[in-house]
Amino acid sequence: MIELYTWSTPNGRKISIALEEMELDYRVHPIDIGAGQQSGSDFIARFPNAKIPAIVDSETGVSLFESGAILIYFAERAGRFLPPAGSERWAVLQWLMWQMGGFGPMLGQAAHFLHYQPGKSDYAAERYGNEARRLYAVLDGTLERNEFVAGDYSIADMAIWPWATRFDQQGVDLAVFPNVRRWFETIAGRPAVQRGFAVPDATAEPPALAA
Amino acid sequence: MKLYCMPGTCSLAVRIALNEIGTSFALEPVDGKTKKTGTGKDHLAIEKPTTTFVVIDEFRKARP
Repeated sequence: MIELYTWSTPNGRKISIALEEMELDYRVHPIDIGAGQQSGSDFIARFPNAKIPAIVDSETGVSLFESGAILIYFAERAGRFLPPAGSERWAVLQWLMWQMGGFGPMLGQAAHFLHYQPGKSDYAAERYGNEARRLYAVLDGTLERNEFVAGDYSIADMAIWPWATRFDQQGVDLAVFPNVRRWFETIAGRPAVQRGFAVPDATAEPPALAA
Repeated sequence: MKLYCMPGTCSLAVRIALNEIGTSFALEPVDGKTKKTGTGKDHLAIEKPTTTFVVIDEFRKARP
């Protein structure tokens, strides 16, 4: 049994989507970050970076934070969505690291300055808005050549897709990125993704794209 | 194996790892302002998006 500590955020949803895709047994522990529950002493004692998502695997005793590490752990445990060797494996890890280092941190800053704190800093809004569009252009380029980012559907797609659901807050128009749009709808149609998206907020649904 | 690198960037971590492993590799510095490599090639034409380092080995050659 996997104990999952999470909230309704892109990084949290990566993990619940992966658990659903891999059909691993898990129990949800909602951590309300709006109420500061991640700063509680019990949570910090186990997860010193005080961020969700985090997991404990009661069968193996493994305790992990950082969503990228958790995705690799699950993929190796389940033997799915990450090829065991060869160029296909490195392509998946390359795009997973691209998400962890760019298509997440930069999009979070874009949403902060464009959506949550508009008008606070024109410089920051322009800087992160431009970087968001550059990252979507990179994603669109790889999806022009491949159905999924690294060829077959993988943990890299599970990491990238939840961040793309917030395109509106990031100042991004998906009509400009037709390959991203096609990939976005393909993944949004997966039943496991829809179940994972609704953790821990059971009413949450991915945004419907305009026709 | 060839490592495209720039002093003072993340490419240092890859260079250290290659040295620790003891594998042989060629270094090709990239100018951050002109985006040209040490041999005058356009780094942006080698890899998009622009990154401070790119490791090219057999698997990359096999994957366009």
